[in-house]
Amino acid sequence: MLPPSDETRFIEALTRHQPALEAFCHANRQDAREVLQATCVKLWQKSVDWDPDTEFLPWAFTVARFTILSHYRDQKRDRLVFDEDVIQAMAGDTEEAASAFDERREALALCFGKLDQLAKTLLHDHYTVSQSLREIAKASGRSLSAVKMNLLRIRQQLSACIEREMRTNP
Amino acid sequence: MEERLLNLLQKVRDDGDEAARTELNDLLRKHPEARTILSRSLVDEQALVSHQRDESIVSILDGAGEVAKIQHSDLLVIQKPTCKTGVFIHKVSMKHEPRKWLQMLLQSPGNTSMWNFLVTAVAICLTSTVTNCSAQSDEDFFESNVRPLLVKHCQECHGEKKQEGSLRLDSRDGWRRGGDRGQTIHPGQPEKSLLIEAVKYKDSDLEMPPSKQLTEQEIAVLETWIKHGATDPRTESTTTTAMSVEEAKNFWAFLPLKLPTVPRDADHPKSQNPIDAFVLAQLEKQKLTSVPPADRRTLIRRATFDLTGLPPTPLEIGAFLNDKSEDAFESLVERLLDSPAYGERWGRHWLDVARYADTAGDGSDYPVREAYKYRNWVIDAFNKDQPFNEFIREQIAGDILARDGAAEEYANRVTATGFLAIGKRYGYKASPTYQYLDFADVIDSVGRSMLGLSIGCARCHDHKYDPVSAEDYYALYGIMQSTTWAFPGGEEQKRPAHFPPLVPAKEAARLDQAKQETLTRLDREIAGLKRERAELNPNFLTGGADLGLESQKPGQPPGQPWVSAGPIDVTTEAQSPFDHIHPKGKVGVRLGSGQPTDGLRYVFENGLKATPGSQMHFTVDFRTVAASEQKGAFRFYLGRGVIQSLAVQCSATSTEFAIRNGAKWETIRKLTPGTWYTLQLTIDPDTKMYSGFVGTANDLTVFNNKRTGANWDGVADCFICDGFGFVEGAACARDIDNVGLQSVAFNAPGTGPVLPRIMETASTERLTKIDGEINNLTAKRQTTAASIAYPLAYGVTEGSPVNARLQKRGEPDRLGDEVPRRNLEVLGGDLVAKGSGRLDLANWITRPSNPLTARVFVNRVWQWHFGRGLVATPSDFGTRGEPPTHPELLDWLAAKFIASGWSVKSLHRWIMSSKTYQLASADDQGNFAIDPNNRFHWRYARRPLDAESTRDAMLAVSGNLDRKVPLAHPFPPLDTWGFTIHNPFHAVYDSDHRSVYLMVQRNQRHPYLALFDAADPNQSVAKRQPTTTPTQALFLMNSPFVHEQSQNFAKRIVTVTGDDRAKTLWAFETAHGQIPEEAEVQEALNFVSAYRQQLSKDSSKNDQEAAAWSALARVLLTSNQFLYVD
Repeated sequence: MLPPSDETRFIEALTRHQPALEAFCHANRQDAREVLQATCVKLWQKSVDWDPDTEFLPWAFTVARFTILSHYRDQKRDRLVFDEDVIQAMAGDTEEAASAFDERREALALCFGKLDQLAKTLLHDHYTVSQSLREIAKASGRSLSAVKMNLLRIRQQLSACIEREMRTNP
Repeated sequence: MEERLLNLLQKVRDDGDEAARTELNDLLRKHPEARTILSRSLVDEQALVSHQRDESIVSILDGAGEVAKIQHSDLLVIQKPTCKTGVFIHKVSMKHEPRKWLQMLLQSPGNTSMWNFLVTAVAICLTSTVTNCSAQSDEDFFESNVRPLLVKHCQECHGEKKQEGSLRLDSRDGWRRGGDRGQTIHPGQPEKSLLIEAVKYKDSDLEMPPSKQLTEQEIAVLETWIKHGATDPRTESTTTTAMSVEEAKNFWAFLPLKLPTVPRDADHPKSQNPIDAFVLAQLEKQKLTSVPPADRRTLIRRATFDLTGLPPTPLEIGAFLNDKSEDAFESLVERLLDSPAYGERWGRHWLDVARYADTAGDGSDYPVREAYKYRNWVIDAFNKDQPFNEFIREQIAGDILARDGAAEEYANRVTATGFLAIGKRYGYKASPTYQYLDFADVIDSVGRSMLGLSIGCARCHDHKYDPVSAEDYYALYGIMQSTTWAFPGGEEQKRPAHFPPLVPAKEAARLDQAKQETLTRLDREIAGLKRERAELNPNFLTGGADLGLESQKPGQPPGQPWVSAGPIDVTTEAQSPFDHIHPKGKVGVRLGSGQPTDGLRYVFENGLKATPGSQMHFTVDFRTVAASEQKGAFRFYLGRGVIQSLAVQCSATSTEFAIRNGAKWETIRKLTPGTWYTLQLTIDPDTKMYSGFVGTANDLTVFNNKRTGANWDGVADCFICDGFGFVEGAACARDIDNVGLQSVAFNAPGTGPVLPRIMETASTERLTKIDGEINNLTAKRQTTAASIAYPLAYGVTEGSPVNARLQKRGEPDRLGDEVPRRNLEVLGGDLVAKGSGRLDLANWITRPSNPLTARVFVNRVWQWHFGRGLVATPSDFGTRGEPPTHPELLDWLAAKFIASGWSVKSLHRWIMSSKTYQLASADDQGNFAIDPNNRFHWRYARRPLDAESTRDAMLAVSGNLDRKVPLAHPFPPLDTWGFTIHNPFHAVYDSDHRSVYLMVQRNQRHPYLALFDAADPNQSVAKRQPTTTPTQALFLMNSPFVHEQSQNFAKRIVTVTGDDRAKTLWAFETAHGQIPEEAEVQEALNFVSAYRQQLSKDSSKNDQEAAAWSALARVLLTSNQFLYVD
């Protein structure tokens, strides 16, 4: 396939941009992992097409888009969030946001630090430990809707903070 | 906008909300800014996830030691990869081509976070500038990664404090031993290690930690650790909690019993009671001084309640006060010990320990009619001062001792084994399924009551504190299993079983046989009389040709001796016109068309049995009622029993008649509906052939050489007419009359008429006499059958000797190795010689070299005298129990006890003659400050009367107490027993007998006994816990019982000669044993006068005198002076 040095660079790029890819594939939470996996396999198969001197992500996103769409066509399930045409419509915005992933990620790190401990714990439990909101509600003795609201507020907080950071420290 | 989008998104994701989904997609279609916002939000979410992930990776890698984080996107570059995993991957990736490595990664399915971790790790290693990674040592890896993990997640339950599943993870030696499920860690093989299986939640029965699964990184750490040999520098601490048998040799309770020297010096003169010497020695040590002795009134009240549970009468008090001799108190003690009331009081103490109840407990709580025999045996044993070692031996192995012992002791000894049987009993029927629960109670009770050891704790695991192993438990279990247990009755098997007879086996067998013989004889006599009667009555042939049909009432189905089902009536319309069989009668039987199973049945009491050369003759008249729509056929059946052995069948529709020839139906002739036909059969059992005819007088159809049922056994005692005929379908209605069965031929139709025979007077008289005798004998037979050939006990007998297998965690389906039946190791470990082992067990418990038995019992006696034992934990002489306050005194008493021949009354004499016993209960501030619980006996502790004494005292004082010893409780009769968990037994029986004789129910306790803290019969009770509750006070104020006793007490008071003052003083002395202060007397007199005055206003009250004194009586009976003993 690729000459060894190129190959190494491909692997580096692929691993490096995993989160961004994942973000892009995250149109449907349920399928994101499979889609991501399929995307990566596809990327690997098409690795010869990538010029190591060019940007990795835009190329990768193109492949990803096709993979996602074909994935949906293959398995139409009722757990999909977005309709096909909506995905198409959103593709541009997703690409743009995903491209800025690294910057957003850094901003997030700063914003995260500003959260209070309770908020951090909730995020940890939900996103790292993968506890469902229901489980969290049960364990803490709060109602499910209270926990949902809480999470929503935190994410909004983070969002706003990230936007501020992006604007002030590009 | 963002909030709305996120809300909708969440609804779709979490709840699958279709409406939300539609709305969301519409929004996104319509509004470009929505798409921008949501895209960013989704990406941010990913950033958040990714951020969190990295944090956790960092924390894992942090544990590795030296990590320098340089955030490069989400890459972590480690300068010195010290984590084993990192190095491993690094090494691998250097060996293999990166391409292959990535392929591996891409093929690992679904496990995103793990994958990400590996990916990140690869990235780390690939971009690492360090080419030489120093291998981290196994120890470092353990210290950094494994130890903190184990401490955090595992050691709380698998460490020093707790060892769940018998597993320790706090040391190498610990986990090397493994746990209940075997080896936990296989060094080098994580895939074989139970620990990994557990943390991976592979087995729903074994998910560790149970509260929350470890993260994947943590699991990976453990796997790596095990894969690399499970290095663990932690050695076990030397402190283990349970005492070994070796160590027990130095524990006070297991030290061999030796008679200690009594402290003797100037302060302790030789004449002193040794008990006082020991107590005084301790008092001095504790810097306590005893209070003065109690006054005589106090003393006699205390001693009387102590030994008999009853109050002293004023006469008895007077006698004691006037007895000026030196041994007045000793004489008093003797008098009390001689009284049968002594056994009733002290027997009850033992019944507490023996968990005595009159019902079996568990769901249905079946009554045990014979339980009272054990209770009375205990009382008798104390009254006659049975040597305590014999007392114990008989309770364990009385049946075995009875076998080889004196005949007059047989019943007593077997009764004694009730101790084993009267625990809480499980099981719905007499099967071994739930015996393990019975045994758990027995073993625990024997241990606690006799040895002061909680052997029951070793059911599931070695005792955590005492030198008792699980093997010890199952060694005893085998002994219990080799025993046959009386079964009290249960939900499935509602009758008691296996109750041992109170007579020797030979005698029991003899009595059983005698009873059986009586029954057989009576049966024979009755049968003979019945036969004679049948022969006498001319209207009876064989079973009676008339078969009692003429005496049936028309208009309803025939009754006894006929049996019918379905539409059927006796009616005059069904009277057959034929008169060649019987005299012309009035009624016959009309069977309607119904189910095939509907019909008529007659069982001939004296049926015919095949006799060689003899034939059987059967006849019946019939007609079909009218031309019938029903196409089906009815049939006649003759044979043994209800279709048990078929002889012949005949069948007819309304138009055709058929017979069964062997295996086939044969139509014989046509029938005309409404015409009466007669059928006769001659049956030859020898050849199994029959012949016969059917028809009218002028139109008979004869048939010959037909086969009976091939399997007919030659007995004809049952005739049936039902609807299972030769044609299917509902059988037509038909009339039946003149059924007959006999061994001689019937007359042919056309001959006759048969005239009714008149009975001679002599025959009639004889008939009446016979009927009378039959009734007598039948009644006698019933009584004999219901009678008990010999009395029974609720106890045990020898079964088949068998060893038990250890039950892991006490589960009967998780069996370990077989354990030979033997003594506890710490008590000698002797093996069972022969039989079940109960005799051996009895001997081991009572042999003088057993350090526990005597100490335990002597301590109990001390506790029952003083309210508190020398050992404050009377059923626990183990390491968690309290050590004795006066160890030498305890040993002295125990040794003397054995030397006296285990005489319990001797213990009473020694204890009660001591100054210590005779101290007042006065307060002393100085002493109280040092020893508030009176552990060192600086005074005699005032105590409340227990439940039995309170009730008995009230009955005694009121004069109502019935001192007779009652026998069995008035349980409902055995044949009505049908108790289940939804319909359990419950009863409360009133009586005026002493409280020890009340019916003690296990599940729903006697209301009075429960209220006043009597022993809970569900377990061995060493010490009651008296409470003081408002409900008790309410009982004392309001209960009919207290009011009744007060009234009767008042009646006695009224009869006292003298004035009110005399009466009052007598009342006080009778109730309290004391003469009150003058002020109190005045108060009482004023009270009675005032009460009297009040009553006189209400002229309707009769017996106002008694009523007034009742009021005073109520006060006296419920005041502290009555309820407490100084």
